[in-house]
Amino acid sequence: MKKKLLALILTMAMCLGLAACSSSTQENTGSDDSGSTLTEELSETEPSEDGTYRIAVLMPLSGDLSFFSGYFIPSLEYLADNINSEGGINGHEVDLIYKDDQGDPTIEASVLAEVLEEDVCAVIGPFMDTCGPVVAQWAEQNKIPVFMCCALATDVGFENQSDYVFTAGSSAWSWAKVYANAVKEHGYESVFFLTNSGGVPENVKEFFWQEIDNLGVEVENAGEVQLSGTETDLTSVITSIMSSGADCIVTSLTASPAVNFLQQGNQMGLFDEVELLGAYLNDADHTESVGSSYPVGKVYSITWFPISFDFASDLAHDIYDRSDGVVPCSAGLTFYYALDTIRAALATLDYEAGYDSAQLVEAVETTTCESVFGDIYYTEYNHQLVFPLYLANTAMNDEWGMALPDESDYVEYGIECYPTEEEWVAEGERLGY
Amino acid sequence: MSIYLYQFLTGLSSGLLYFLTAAGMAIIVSGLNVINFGQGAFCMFGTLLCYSVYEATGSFFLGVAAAVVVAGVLGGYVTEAMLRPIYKRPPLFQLLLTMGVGYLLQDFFLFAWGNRMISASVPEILNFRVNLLGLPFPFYYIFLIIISLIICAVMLFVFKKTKIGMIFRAIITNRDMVDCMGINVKKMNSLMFIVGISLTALAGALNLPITGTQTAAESPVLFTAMAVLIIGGIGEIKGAFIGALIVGMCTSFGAMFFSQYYSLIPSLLMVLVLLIKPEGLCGKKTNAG
Repeated sequence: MKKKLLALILTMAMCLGLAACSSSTQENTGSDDSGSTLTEELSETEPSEDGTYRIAVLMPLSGDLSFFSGYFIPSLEYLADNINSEGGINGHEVDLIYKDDQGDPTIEASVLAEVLEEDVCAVIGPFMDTCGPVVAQWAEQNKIPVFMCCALATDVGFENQSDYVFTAGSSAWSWAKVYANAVKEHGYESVFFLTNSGGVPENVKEFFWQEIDNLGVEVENAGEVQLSGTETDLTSVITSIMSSGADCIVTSLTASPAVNFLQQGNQMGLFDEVELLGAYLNDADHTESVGSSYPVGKVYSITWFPISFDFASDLAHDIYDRSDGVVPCSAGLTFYYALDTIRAALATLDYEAGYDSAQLVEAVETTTCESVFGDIYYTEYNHQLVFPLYLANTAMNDEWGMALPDESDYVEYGIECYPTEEEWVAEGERLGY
Repeated sequence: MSIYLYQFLTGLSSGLLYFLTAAGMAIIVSGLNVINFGQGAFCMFGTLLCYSVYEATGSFFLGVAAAVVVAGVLGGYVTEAMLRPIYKRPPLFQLLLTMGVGYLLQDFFLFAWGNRMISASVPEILNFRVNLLGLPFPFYYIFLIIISLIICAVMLFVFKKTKIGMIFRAIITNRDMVDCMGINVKKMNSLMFIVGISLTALAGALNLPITGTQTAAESPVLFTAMAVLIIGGIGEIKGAFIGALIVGMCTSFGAMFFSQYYSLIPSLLMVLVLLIKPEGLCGKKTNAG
């Protein structure tokens, strides 16, 4: 009996330990092998011999996550076709070379080894946060600029900071600032956190409470649940939120867990009393999947591509018309702007005279790019793509036939919610970088 | 008080849905002596079939019926055309075959439904809430509880009170003896497989408005059903019932009190039972070797 008891205690300790470690292990996968075989000889990357600008695109084209590519490719193809039909960049066409990384950090190194053979001047991607560190290290070693469409946890970002790494994807810190401001403005008193495992959701949570302190608001922490990502029946979580007394949920859920949560929460009456703050949740891919079970009017969400807003409408229609019936969404626009900012930077360089990758990096740092949101650019201190963030409520949109960001109920947070250089440096010092 | 009732009912409805899948597996294990590793895929098949018929006809109930029948027919084909020829081989062959069928089905889902999230809303007739001690509770979950309990009662009746149920029980107890009595055991095996698959497909179909499914992902149902079977006792229908209710309730109340770790509860319960009573709560002790 003693042996059984000991085995039981050890097993339970192991389970809890594994659960606690799951987030940190995901961030650090593949830290040693970045697939580099050539380093110094490619540091002088020049335009390709065939007269085109060859740009590699890393995204999941097969596997569980491949459905995301259905959103990314139409946006990229639309922009690439436009650039080429208008004579290319300084007379040279753009050639996108798609590479399937399956969103899997364990195969990213071999995919990057293939990219080295392709004579590319830049890389767009990856999309999955866990692939970020491998790609960042590869960029630094090979001196090829990479424009990530994922987010990195802040400590992982510092760990892998490089002149050659730019982030067109989301910024956990800016999201946290938006949520904290919204909690203050809406007068919420009690917040429940619902997150995925991983470093970025952890960052959102930490920065959120830090911002709440900075704003001097009294907000109760009503509890938190971290989903592993495989749960589909969330009824227990929903009832636990209902019993927590929270009046606001902040979530980092996206894709299928978010769809399940919205659907089941609405069925169970969760949103009768609680409002939800999240990112992308009122974007086309989520609202279309949830359909008529979407809790219209109860979800405030950061969206990078509010297709129902007047200023974004034409671009949304253009992309939709060129796609196979795929409604545009924010994630697709991340890739779009990664390519557009590369285009803007390349346009300032002289193809015929040649240039090296350091010059391209400098051009990216100093060039602003026009967008439907106004001018967008990468910050010099952390290479984060900056453009105004919107937190919008949701309304039914007759034209698209689905719930979408509500143009009459939104707040534009501008670029004030991105961390300033001083905050960034201070955070780096706090983390020991 | 009302929130505890709420939690109890969600635990009960989840538990009973686990039971339908686990009972399907238990029937197959006890009858054919093989763990069907394709059970999760059949559950997804039920969800997807229900979705397509619901979309095409607007009738959720027709979708549920189609899922049960079509998945059952496919189950019949699998057992007759694939499993039957290898009955005499060691159980490992059958186990690998069911795994292969599961993979095949997963690829078929991608081909037929595309790589996307499939979900649907609760049918209008069931889409309302009832007031439970001041808290509105979705009627669909009560509907699930009622349907699952009816199926449970029917299964109990068939197994205990009918001739075919008696044959099933006899096969579970002593297959060779039943064979000697002139009963076509292989046909009965096929029937048990069909019933097991249909129950799982039913659970999948009923789950459509709750969880939906992601066509490219493996069904998470298999893991929970395995946990339920191990807790209750592999091959024990009564055990599946008790195991499913324990998992459903513990997960539901666990989310309330240990929200950070609630998803570990099925695994912890499984480990706990394996350490204390490896044959499961309702399982019979067997002498190895």
